[in-house]
Amino acid sequence: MTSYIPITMTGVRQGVRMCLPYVPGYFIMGATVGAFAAQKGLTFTEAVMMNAFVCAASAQMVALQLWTNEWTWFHIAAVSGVALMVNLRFVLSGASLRPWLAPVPAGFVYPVLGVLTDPAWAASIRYNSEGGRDFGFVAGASIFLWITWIVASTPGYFIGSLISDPRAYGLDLFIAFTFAAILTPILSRSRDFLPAIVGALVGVAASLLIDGYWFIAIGAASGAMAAALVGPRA
Amino acid sequence: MNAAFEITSYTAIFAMAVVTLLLRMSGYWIVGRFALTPRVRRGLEALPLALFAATIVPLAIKGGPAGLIATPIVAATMFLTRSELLALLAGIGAATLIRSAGF
Repeated sequence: MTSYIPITMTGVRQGVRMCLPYVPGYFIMGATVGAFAAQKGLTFTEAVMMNAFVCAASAQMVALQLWTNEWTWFHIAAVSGVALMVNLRFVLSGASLRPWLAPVPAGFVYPVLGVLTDPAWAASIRYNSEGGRDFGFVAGASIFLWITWIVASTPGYFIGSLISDPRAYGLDLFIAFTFAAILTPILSRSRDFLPAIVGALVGVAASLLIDGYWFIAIGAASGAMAAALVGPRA
Repeated sequence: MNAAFEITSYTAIFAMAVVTLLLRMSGYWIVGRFALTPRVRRGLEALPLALFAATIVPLAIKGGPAGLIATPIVAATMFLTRSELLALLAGIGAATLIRSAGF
């Protein structure tokens, strides 16, 4: 069964508008990542390229901790491993968009997925849960936040030393805050809490048992699997 | 052995970019290889909620007192005002206060 998914400028504008609240946070976060990149000796071009092509704040922060001047294949494997571990959640966020976006031509979907970030994904999920179907929304939100990230992390490279300790401003919690803000309206409408409960419990257990950022993907996959196995409930 | 290829920071950035790009695209691609049976569809529909929960709760706990107090403040502000901006500001504000108090 195929159904029609609209792609309109109205959707694009709506996607951009729904992501505007994240712009201030992006600038604070961008300042931190930009400053850390400068501290670690990246040239300006390297820093901009990293922001543009990796575009994942947490993965960049962790990888920059391993940055070096003497690169070997071992170091390349280490930063690739960090990207894999911290960004594994994108496999799941991408998967969750398929039932909605399947009718959209691949040539439109994959470039947008290529710059999908957490807030853009979460805003899209909320939009879809409220009945929205326009692919323009996903495209608008993703591309807008991608450009915002590149712009926001650039001044940080020069002035970011103002934020010496990101933890002092709760920036380690930025994704948690973003998700909590977006989840609240979704949760107040949903009736089945099983995936959230399993996801949270397994996620917490995994975060205590396994170092690093694996807990997000492990918890999320467990919650989804629980929902698939248990079956529809009245 | 001549050093035809030198490993640099650019190699690292390129490797990270490729890994991240593949991750961003692969989940969507993999789901397309399978028939969307009712069971698979249920799992996919539950996935966002599970992903939200598996991110928020462990991160809040790892964040210590600031995480445990500021994260519910974000949710409460959002519930009351329906404004993401206010919710995020409340969270950052609360976390900054709690951390500056030394917790």
